[in-house]
Amino acid sequence: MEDLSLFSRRDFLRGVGAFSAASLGFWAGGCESCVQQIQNRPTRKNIQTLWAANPSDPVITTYKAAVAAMKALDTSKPSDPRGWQYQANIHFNKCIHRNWLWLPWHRVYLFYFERICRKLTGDNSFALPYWNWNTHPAVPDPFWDTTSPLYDSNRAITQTDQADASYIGTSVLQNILNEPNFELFASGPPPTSDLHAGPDATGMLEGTPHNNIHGFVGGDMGAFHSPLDPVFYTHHNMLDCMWTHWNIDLNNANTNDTSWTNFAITDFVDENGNPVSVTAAITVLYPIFSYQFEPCSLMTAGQGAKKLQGKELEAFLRAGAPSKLEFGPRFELRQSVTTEVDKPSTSAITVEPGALAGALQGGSHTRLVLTVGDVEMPPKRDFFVRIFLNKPDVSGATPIEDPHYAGSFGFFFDESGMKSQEGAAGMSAAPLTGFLVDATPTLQKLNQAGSLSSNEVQVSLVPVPYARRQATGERLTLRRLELAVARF
Amino acid sequence: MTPVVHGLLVWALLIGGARPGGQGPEGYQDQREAAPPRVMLTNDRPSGYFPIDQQTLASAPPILVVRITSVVNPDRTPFQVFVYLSYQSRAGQSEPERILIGNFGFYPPDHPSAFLLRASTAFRKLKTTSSRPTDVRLLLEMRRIHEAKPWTPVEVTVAPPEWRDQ
Repeated sequence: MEDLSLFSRRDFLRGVGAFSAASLGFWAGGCESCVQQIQNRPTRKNIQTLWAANPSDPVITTYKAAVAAMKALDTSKPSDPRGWQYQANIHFNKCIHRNWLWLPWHRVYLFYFERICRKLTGDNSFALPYWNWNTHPAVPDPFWDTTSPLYDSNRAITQTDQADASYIGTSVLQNILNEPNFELFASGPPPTSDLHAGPDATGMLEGTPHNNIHGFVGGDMGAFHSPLDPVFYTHHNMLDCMWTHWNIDLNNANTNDTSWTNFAITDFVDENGNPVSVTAAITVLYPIFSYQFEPCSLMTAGQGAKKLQGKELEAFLRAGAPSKLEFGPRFELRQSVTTEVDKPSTSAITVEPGALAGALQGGSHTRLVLTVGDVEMPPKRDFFVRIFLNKPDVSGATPIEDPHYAGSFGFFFDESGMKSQEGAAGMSAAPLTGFLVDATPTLQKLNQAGSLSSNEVQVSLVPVPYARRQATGERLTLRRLELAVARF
Repeated sequence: MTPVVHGLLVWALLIGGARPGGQGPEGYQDQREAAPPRVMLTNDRPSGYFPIDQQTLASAPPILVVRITSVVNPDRTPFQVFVYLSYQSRAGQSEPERILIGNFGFYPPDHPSAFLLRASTAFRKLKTTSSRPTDVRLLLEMRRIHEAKPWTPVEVTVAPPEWRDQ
């Protein structure tokens, strides 16, 4: 299964650090509405703090309503994959633990769970709260009201029992956050094709706070049916918060092993109950584009950690920080291009002879970046798009191992957010978005093979249906293709 | 990443080691016996250890893999395993000193796994200790998550430690 990232999978090979350096600036320049949406993405908050301020906080109210609605589906429509039991069964039957895929797998789980909560409650601003066991070692109060859908009578503890500092204390968690090695932080590679079988290698985040909180709460939480307890999602949200902090704020890189980056997570459904497929690499982007965490004590205490918010985030996006990119020549094709599933399109970008030479010769700080810009968000998104360079005879059957393959992108933005912006602006056209691909390796390869013209690069876009989706006739329209030389 | 596994068995013949079935941290003796291929921790004897040879001590490998090969825990009692470097700092001292390497639990509580721990900080502390440490061991200790609740039968088998350079 190939990577369906917004950008080329090659952007992810050095983890989110390289991604943020190379890509955010482009994004900001190419899609103003996206910047606004990113800025306003939902903030995941500490559920205990919310409760202490107001037990009827909208986040808690929505979470209760969502869980109630999902539990209701168990009886009204047991086959609905958004049902409470069904969602728990996904974990019971498919969960990944004891290897480095456990983090992205659970991130996707929470991502779509959150969207299901929004859909079933109509609260499109809902952000899944987290249980900060570091600051509140007892299971948070909202989970103890016996009349609430958040209550689980099977827990092995009481409301006053506290998790031990040996696994959620500040020094222990800081020690984990200070670990730069991905495997030690996040667990090691799965040694066999069977992801659910050993031998394996559990890292510190999983082995210490993750495992022990499951054991501490006990009952449903102590076994693989743990999502039957609503506290499960808030527990894993805290782990996701720690991964986000480690990854983005502390600038620690995830593994660049392609068995991780390209691993396709296909066990979940979206808010409409449709199956989804997400690669691990794309999950790195979720906390940048789709949600954020409010700062917590752990985030402000570590290694100069700084969580970007509001104007800081905007500035970061506009500047493309932390690494500054300088643009050399840009070669743009401004014309409407429409492509369709089973009907690839090919366009040619005219380039100045010799302008790409430096990057083609392998300068380590020069990249050739292809922007697929002013893309109209397709109304139906049952497909992703592969990009090939200088291969006009391409088709949906052309393998990604083909030397002309440059990358792919898919669509995962919050449609409701897009629509609300669209409505506010009084627009009727489809929202626009944009994608980046690091075209350097492909163009270098073609250059070495002598199949690169000195004054033209052909860009072929191939919409490919997702597995088990009927996408015939679905189309994509864009108005800008650009090839730029970027130095960093 | 290539694991570097040191010859613990050979060195243990000279240094002494834990007996199969586990051993509590009741003090060290100058035993000269073969190291066990495994250490077993139980609810009755929740501590055990592996000797650490001089070569490992000298190289102070930064990463430790503790491989739990089996967990028998029919009541699914949640527990943790704490991993220490333990050593004698003074001759005749009954209680060894301990430096925590890390701790981990199990999810679910009867599923074995291998656990990756950062050992470099503990080795650094060991080297900077004021006394001259002797009889350095890798000490494993099992503790219940809910200390107020009694143990139920638990049996954990630990493979010899794997030390890694990266």
